[in-house]
This record gives sequence, C-alpha cells and structure tokens, in this order.
Amino acid sequence: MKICMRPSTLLWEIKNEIVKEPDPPAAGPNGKSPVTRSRRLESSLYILAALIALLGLCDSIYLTVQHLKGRDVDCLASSGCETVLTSAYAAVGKVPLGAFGVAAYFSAFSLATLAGFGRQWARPLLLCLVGGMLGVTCWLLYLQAFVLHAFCDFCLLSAALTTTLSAIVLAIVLMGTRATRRLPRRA
Amino acid sequence: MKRYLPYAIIVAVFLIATVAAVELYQDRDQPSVRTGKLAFGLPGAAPPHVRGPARAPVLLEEFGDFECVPCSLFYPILKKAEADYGERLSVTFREYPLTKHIHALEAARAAEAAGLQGRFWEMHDSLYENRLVWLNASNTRAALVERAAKLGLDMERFQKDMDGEEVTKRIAADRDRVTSLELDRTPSVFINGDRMTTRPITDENLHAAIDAALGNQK
Repeated sequence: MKICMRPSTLLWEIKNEIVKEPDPPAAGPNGKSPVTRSRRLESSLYILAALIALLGLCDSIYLTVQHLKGRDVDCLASSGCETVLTSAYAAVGKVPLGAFGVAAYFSAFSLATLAGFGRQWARPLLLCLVGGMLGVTCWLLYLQAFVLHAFCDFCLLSAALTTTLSAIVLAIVLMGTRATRRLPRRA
Repeated sequence: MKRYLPYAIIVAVFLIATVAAVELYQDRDQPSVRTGKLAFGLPGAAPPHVRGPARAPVLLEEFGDFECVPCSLFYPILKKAEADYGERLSVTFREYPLTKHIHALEAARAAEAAGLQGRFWEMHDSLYENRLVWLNASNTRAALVERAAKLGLDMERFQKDMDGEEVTKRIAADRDRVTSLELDRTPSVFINGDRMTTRPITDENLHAAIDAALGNQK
C-alpha cells in the first residue's frame, strides 16, 4: 500500500513512526520497570480471583450435594434457607442450581489461574464468564428479595463472592485500559 | 515445567473437589437407623393422632413440623399414598416443631387444640394446605384462630386449649419421643418401625417402601 502513496506521505509516516515509537520502560527505584510491576499486580489479582472462585466452588459443591441428598441446609444468619433451596427456582429440571455454580466457579478458577500465569487468551473468556455469573447472581437476588421473600446464607455468600470476583476482573480490565491510554498514539 | 504448572493446579483442584463432593455425598453423618416395630423409643403423646385402621398391615409414623417446607412437600405425597393404599395403611402424626421455625410451635399448639375437640386431622390438613396464608399473616395467632373458625370448632374452648396445659403436655411427650429416637430433621418417617432414610421422600420411594412393608407381611 505504501508504494502507491506519494513519497512525501510515506516519508511523513516513517518519520512519525520513528518519533512516536514508545521508549522502553524506565526502571524504577527498585530496578523494576512500571510495566513489570503492573504485570505482577495483574497476576496477583488473578490469583486472588482464583482463590475467591475456589471459595465459591466449595459453597456450590455443598449446596449441590445437600440438594441431591435432600438434606436440610441450616441457615446461620437468615431463616429462609429451606424456602429458597426447596423452591421451584432451586433446580432447572432435575439439575440443582448449585451444579451450575460448581461448573461456573470451577471454570472461573481455571481461567483466573491460567490468566495469572500469563495466558492472555484466558482473560477475555474470564471477563465474559464473570459477567454472565454476575447477571445470574442479580437475577437470583431479585428472586430471593421479591418473589420468595426469603434469603439463604449460602446463596448470599455466593452472591458476595461473585460480586468480588467481578470487581477484581473489572479492576484488571480498567488497569489494562489505563495502561494502554498512557502509551502514545500512532498517527 | 513452569509451563504446565497452571494446568497441574487446575487438575489438582478438580480432583480434590471431586473427592470432597463424593465424601460429602456419602451418608457419614447419618444417625444409625434403628429398626423394629413402633415399640422402641419413648411412647409420645397418648392417644396418638392416627388416621386409618389401627390394625393396618403398614403403620406409618411421621414426625412433622407445620412450618417446614419439606413437610409441606411431603403432605400431598402422603395423602396420595393414603388414597392408594386405603385400609392397608395407617398414619400416625407426631409433633416435632423445630426451634428454628418461629411459628411452628404455635401451629402445633393449634393442631393439638383442635385435636382436643377431635378435629386434629382437619386442622392438620388445613395447616399444610394453607401454609403460606397463616405463615405470611401479620398476626400468626389470629390466622390460626381463623383456620379453626373455618373448621367450625368451639372457638372459646379452642383459644383456651391453645394456651392450655394439656396441649403443652402432649407436645412435650412427642418431643420426648423425638429425643429418644435421636431424630434431627423433619419430616422423619418410619414405616413399620423402619426409618426411611432416602431423601427427599418422593411419591415413588414412599410407595416402594410401603410395598416392601406389605411384601414382608406375606
């Protein structure tokens, strides 16, 4: 394409590219560049997200097993566990909702671990998954508050974990966006 | 090696989660099932609330709570079994109001007060069939009294009995039986003295248990 351009335009582009090429990141006072620090922070946040997903996995496994065994789930703080967990919304067909939670949390754990270890492809997948989980969480909270008029501790714990997970993933995305903005634009 | 580390972590977590789920699924915390005829344990309130012939080949004893959701789900299943087996099935109901249910004891008192007028089973059915009505009422006591009024009970006596000593004694006697049988959940169901351990109790597994009990009679 550039061959077809006028020589003056081509020269301007080449010059501009040379001038606008970002400088290599300068080392900080501790000898580490800001980019390295940012990557480390991102990795740490992904590992934190993986640990939170692990807690959600434990919660979901417990709820699934209790549902499949037909055992009572004793609430500690609220009194609506029985109402919520035996309602028509507690299962899709014969599959307890907790089983979907197990699949979602395990996927979130896997993707966060992979992203934390630098697998770039896992990041957008994790973002989509967590977005979906947050949507389902909002729906379930709506059902508890306005349809069933009862809350279940373990469901609220799951909602809190999903919200935290979403906040972490969103923070990582925002960090990445800000870092991209700081880079000088090409003409 | 480091390249495969995240995959190794994921596989390890998957295996640990699977083992934990299987361990949790197994009934390690299930209390030992005591079997035999209804004679074991303390006797409970006398006379008990029995529906069906006393000499029926299958005697089913339920320990229930009027506020508990699984009990209300079990109610239509039991009704269907009673209709299906007719004279071959006798049902006994024992009060087991769980302390975590704030209105369960009051409902049990209402059922027992109705029982003192010989109308326990009507009140029992009414409480389960209209569970959400009295449970969601702003004044539970008034809602329970309204149930009794709809059944045409002697209201003055009903209100007096609800707070009376006789009802307290009956519920306490059933509670003693619950304790002696080491029960920890509702509904707890015994068929000819054998505790049903399958959960949840469905139409199919209740029929299977009754059929098995009938088979043992032959």
